Amino acid sequence: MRDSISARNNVQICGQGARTMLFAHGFGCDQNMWRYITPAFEKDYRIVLFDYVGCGKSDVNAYHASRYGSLEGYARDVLDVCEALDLTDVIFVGHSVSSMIGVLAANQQPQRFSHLIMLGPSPCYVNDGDYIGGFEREDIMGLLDTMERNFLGWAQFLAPVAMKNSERPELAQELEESFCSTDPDIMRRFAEATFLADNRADLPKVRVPSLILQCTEDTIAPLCVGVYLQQHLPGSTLRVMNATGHCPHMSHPIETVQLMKEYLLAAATPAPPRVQQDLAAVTTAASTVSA
Amino acid sequence: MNDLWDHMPCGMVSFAGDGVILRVNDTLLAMTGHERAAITGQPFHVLLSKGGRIFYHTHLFPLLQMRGEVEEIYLSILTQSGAEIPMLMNARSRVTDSGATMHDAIFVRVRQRAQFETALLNERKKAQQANKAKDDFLATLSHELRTPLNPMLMLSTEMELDLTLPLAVRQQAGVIRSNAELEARLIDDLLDHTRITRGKIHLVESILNLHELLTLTEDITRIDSRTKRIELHFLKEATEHHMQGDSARLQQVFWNLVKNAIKFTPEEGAVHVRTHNSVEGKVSITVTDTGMGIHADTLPHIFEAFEQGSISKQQFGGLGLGLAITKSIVELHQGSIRAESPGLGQGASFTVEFNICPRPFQDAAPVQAAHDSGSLSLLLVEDHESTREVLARILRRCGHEVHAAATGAEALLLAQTVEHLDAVISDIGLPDQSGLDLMRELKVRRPSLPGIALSGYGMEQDLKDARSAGFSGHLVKPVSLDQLRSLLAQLTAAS
Repeated sequence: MRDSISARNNVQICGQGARTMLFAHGFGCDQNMWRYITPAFEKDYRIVLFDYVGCGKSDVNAYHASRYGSLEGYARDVLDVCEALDLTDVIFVGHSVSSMIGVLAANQQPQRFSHLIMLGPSPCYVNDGDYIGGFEREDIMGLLDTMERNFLGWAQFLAPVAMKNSERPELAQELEESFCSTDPDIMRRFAEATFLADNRADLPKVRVPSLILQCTEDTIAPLCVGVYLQQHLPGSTLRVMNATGHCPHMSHPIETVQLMKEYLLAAATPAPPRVQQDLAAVTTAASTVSA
Repeated sequence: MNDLWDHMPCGMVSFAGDGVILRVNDTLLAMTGHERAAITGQPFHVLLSKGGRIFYHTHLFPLLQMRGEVEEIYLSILTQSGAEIPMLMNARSRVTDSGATMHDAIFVRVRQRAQFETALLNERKKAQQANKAKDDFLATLSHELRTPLNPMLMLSTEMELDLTLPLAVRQQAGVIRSNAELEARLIDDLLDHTRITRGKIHLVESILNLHELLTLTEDITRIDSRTKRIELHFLKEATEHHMQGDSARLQQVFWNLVKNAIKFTPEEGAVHVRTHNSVEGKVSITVTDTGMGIHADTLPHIFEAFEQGSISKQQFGGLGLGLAITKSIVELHQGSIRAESPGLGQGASFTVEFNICPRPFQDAAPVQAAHDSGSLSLLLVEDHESTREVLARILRRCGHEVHAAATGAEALLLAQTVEHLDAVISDIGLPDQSGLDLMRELKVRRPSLPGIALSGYGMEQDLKDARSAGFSGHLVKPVSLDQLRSLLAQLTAAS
């Protein structure tokens, strides 16, 4: 079981420490996107990285369209990895769609998780009545069209490409060759499962405390979504970052690491009584709100 | 230099590592109608459609960040009025003197190319749909063709074995049986082909002794070669001949190659099968014949589906799928296959090559011959009337007591009334419920009752489903009497 899941999900383990941090990549990439973050935790934690089936260096033969047609299938991957390594008390770190995948996994087996750290999460990307997700259905169709055209023949997303990059010698050639390369059909289904998902009803069921890292000017997960999450996720803390964009772990790794460490440190020390703060505070950068 | 930047025949944008636009050129402003002041200082994604923004953040930005370079990215750029212009983007990162990361991007308008791509994508979708429809049709067709073969095969087998019938009648029954078997094999080829094209074949691997497998091939093909008075030689020269693989699938490969060699070799010709270790770590099996050979022009296409070289299908029969299936199976085993021929009339040779693995301490014990299982009380569930009757009759002739049901409901009723049952044999597709659900219900009532599933498909998923529903064995129709008897013997011996 352990070996087969490890191979299937390309599980990589490093670091040392009694507790485990499990890093789950977002839509479009693979575990390599964590390479600016994990070194900061290797000294104190056991780090587990993996690729979802169909992404990165996972075993593509294990891909079944029915299983991965919804985020539940991806949550199953997370739980499979936890079961195979017999993980408990896990700090789950998920980027983007992996935040909701983490929510689904934690709702199924809450005993395995101690904290959820979410980077740029959104429970629902499509606007729905009063709820502002930031997108209309046709925008998602536009994404699928853009993906399709980019997967049509431009090799870099499809096949390994040898890239020369003298300015970034720290990047292994192996990484550059495979990063983001993907199977178009799998990515299309992953895109649909991600951007047409609605996990709002799953939020109140969460029993694991969580940190929401919300970027400034994130068009994929706008601030109002972060606020919505904080209001509906029991035990959540919202931190609005100075970082802009949707990939703070790649564009602003130092701030990302710092906020994660602050949260974990606070979680490790006995918590003072939680205070409900004025939500207006959220609109200023790098502020904290606890629920 | 500024002139060059502004007047380049492509749009140019420089943006910071965090995505904020630092500089744009006149050409981009002219193409999009944006004011320089309105977009400078804004995040780069304001130039993109909303779908494009997601793509930028999930694919393009990470790629640029990690690789430092992207080429030929398709993006729709928004004009000031909100229209979308298809563009191709190349971008490269650099580190400025102050240590900050910058991305420089150029944009080329690709209106005509985008139209062409749209047409291409539409055509591709149509072709994919048509291809899927064809595969679905083939799968359904093969399934439908198999069902009526079942009673034909069973009845003829039964007649062939019936010593009370005159010899001539039994011989005629034998002709019917062998033709029904031939047809079943052709349909199997069709099914295999559709499974392979849908990526539905998964190997059941173990460590195999290739020489043992080839002995089986020798036994099966010996009769054909004798009939055509063809010399058939097996030279097992490889000293290392163990590999990791699926024995049934590899058997199919060798059988296909040797059968083909015999088929295309005229009477009194010769077929040689030789194993050797010419390359370290590899074992190859070469099948050489003195047959009609292959023309140099057709040699490259010989492994394509529905090809039989330039020869007429009427003359040799078959669907032309054998070599395509063979090649796919070989490649699933990380092996290679090649065909060589000096030309028409000069024979041909096919070589397959696999990676070897160390010989296990002890070769697996050969499959035990089927023991008969004495008299059993059996519940037979099959909705196809003639299949049910023939199966029941054959099983009764073997000395078993058979309780036959046509539906799941009937089967459950029988399971309640019949006091003792040794095994259940059930079709998967029943009119009122699936055989899988039936087995689950039966298991609740009689947990130790072994079951054999019968189905028209032999897909790996079917096998898995059958197992998880509680069946201990699975047979694909048309079922041969031998298979059924040996499985029954195994199951009832085990329980």
